[in-house]
Amino acid sequence: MVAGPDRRERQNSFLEPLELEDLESRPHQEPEDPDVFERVTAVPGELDAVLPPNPAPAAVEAPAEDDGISGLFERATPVPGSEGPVRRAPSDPPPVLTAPPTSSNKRPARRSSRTPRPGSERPTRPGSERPTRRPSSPHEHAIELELDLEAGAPAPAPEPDALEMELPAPNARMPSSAPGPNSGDPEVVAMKDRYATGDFSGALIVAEGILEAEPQHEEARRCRERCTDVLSQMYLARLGSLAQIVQVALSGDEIRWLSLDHRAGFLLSLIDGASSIETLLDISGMPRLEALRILYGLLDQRVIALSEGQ
Amino acid sequence: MERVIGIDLGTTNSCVSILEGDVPIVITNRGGYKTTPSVVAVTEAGKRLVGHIAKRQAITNAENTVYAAKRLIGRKWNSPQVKNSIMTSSYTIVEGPHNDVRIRLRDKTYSVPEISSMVLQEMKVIAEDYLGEPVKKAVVTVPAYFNDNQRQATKDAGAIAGLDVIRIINEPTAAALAYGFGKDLDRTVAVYDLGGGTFDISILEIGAHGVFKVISTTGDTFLGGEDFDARIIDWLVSGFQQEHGIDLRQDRMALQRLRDAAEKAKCELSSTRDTEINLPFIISTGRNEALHLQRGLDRATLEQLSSDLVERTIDICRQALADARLGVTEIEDVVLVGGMTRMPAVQQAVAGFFKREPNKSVHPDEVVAIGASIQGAALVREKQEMILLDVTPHALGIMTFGSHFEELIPQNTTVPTSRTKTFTTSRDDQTAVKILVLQGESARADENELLGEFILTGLRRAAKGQVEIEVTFEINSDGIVSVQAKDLETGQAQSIQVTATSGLTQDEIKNMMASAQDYMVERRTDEKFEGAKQEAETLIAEIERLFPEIERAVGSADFGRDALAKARSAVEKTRAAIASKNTNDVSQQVEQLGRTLRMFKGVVTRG
Repeated sequence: MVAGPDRRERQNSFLEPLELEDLESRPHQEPEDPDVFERVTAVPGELDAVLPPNPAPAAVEAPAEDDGISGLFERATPVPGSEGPVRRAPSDPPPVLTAPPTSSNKRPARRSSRTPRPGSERPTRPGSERPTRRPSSPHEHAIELELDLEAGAPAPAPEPDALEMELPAPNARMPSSAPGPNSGDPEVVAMKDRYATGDFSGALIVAEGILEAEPQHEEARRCRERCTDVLSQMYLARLGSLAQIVQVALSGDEIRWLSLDHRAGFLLSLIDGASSIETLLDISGMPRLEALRILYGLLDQRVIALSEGQ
Repeated sequence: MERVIGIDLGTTNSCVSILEGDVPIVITNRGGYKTTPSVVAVTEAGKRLVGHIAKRQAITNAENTVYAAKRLIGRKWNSPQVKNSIMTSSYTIVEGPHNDVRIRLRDKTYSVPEISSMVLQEMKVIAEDYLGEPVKKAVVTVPAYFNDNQRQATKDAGAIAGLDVIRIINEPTAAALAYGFGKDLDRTVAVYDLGGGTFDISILEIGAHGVFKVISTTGDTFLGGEDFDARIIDWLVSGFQQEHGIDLRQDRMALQRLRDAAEKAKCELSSTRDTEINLPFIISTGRNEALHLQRGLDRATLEQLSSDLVERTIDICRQALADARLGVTEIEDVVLVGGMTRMPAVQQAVAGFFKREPNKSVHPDEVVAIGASIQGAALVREKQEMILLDVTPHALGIMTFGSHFEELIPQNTTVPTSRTKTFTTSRDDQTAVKILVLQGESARADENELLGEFILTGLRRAAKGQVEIEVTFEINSDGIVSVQAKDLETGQAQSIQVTATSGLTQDEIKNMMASAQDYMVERRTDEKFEGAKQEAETLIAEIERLFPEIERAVGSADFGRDALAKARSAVEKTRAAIASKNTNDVSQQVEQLGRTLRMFKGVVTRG
């Protein structure tokens, strides 16, 4: 059994120094905080662009109980209270498109009651679905997402929000988004809100819900792609090099006592002590994001360990 | 002397060997295994997987994973074997432009030789990694029943993979070669080959001075180790269903795990009497809990589950002996080939039927590749101690009245050769005859492979049986078959030249060769980059681990700050080089990082 590198070491190794310094200098952050990663919801490569010149004050950081990673192996069962309207820090600009509070809750709650579907890319961490897990910051919105406005939708008041900055001209509406949910649709608004607040998991769930009803919905499709990219990169940054060899760190008896689902069990069964993360992603047959999420969860629970490849 | 590798291109597994001096060496792949699954897959991201890695995702990515391509190679689209494969394969088989078979993976369609070439290319890479030099020539084995088209398709697969296949030899012959290597044998042997997907039994005569003659060969292309695995899977699935009311077959991940576990248990039971199958979290119930599968399996149960499969092989052995017109007592040795022959029940059944203990002096998984490498070395050596002669794998002849097959050149005739026979017309006033050139051993023409046809016209009107037509078959040293029909009375003649074809044109083969070469260049470049990247990432991790210590030790001094800044700059440059996938830049940065790390370690040691 080979122990993997210390989690903080991994973070140091694979995240940008600037980001590290920013994070570690934050006064509220304990060095041993196991949920340190939860404070990073943007992609490392994009942090220069998205982080404000001065870090956001600790008061607007995600709440300490927002432990999305540790609940990786449960299906999405959003806590009713946590699925409420987007809470914003007093300093945040109001969103351009505001959703009725109930609409943003509706989709994730409904979908989470379903039986897990193998191969689904849907994020399932309860914590990750909380809209308030990361404070909204104007700079974070610089992550590009071209969102469309439905012609008939009530025009939102122009606000200095990145979403608004990325909006195409009203007459440049994409034809594919014409039928079904539109930009004024509460679900679309909820999707945008979640994306805007950095809740990519939540935005992804809503986007998938929209796409289930209308597979050609262009905005939802783009949002899904973007969220998948961002979330994948987040997990990649946390796992480190894909060339690392994955090993099972617990005995068979210990593993049986864990609370894993069959997908995690399947990924565990693929680990032969010689395969790299990349290999496991290739052979898992799962969507990459899901496999990354599960692997990170297993690492977080110290079920697996990583070591440098040959 | 140029090195020649021997490749056993199997239905389920392939193996590569080379003769080092006089010792045959089986080359291990990167995973340390001596055999590589003949499985090719394309992932969702478009990445090509070959071998173990492809096999491990074969069920979860079933539509895009090709296994047992050998069952299709060189076959015509309308052949019964292809129809059977279409019914049983999880991947999509489509008709090619030349009445051949193509396989669709993701958004691309591949010819069967192209798929096989990917496996051969993998075997070539394994050999090149071992030898440290390029490999160009190979001897590849095929089943004894392969016809000329299938052999040509295998050769084409080798060419696409960048290999000059200097000889195709029969698998049982290769096994017999390895079995008789270094001995001066003169005996009749049976080669019982139970592999992962097929069963073949061949009766051979090994004569003095290296004459190996296949007297009879038969088998079942859909009987092998996978069928034994399937029995274990059925047993596990039904047990789980009884206990929990859940059908594990409905979940691909569960099925993939079951298949892997079944194969592992089967292998273990060849050396132990019982084993435990333990698959935690095999399926989720939908009530936020996952169920485990844990069940013991003993050898007796496995034997009971698979007894009919073993019996089927014995029935086929009986047929092979009948075809060879030999009695059991005339078989002087039985050579076991294929991983399944490790199963004690199989060995007992073989011993019971042939009334002698089977020979276990050769490795069942490696013997065919070893035989191929022995033949390869013999072909390029100046002093050839042992040579296998090129023989016709099947009888050649024409169709006669009543759809009968009239044999002109018997099976296993040494080439070059020529045979002539005279025929007559079958109807009164017949002015033309159609010559159908066939290959095979069946007395019925329609059960043999049609190689070509032509019509001889202008015959004299006469009562049936009065006009004589002389048919001549000729096979030259390149294996090209010429058939001529001549009206003996008028001297008028028509002829046809039959060349074995894989179903691919020369242009297609050239394009595929170019694609395969491009793929290899890309693969080598990626491997080089990945190697440099890994090295760089390891160094960066080590350097960043030392930063705090270095800062404490020398950070207050100007030179220390300068060194730290340079180190950080080197780290950043390396990350940029990795991001831009520039192998040369990464390699250069590795040197810089190495110097930095040595300096840091020196500071830490002194401090």
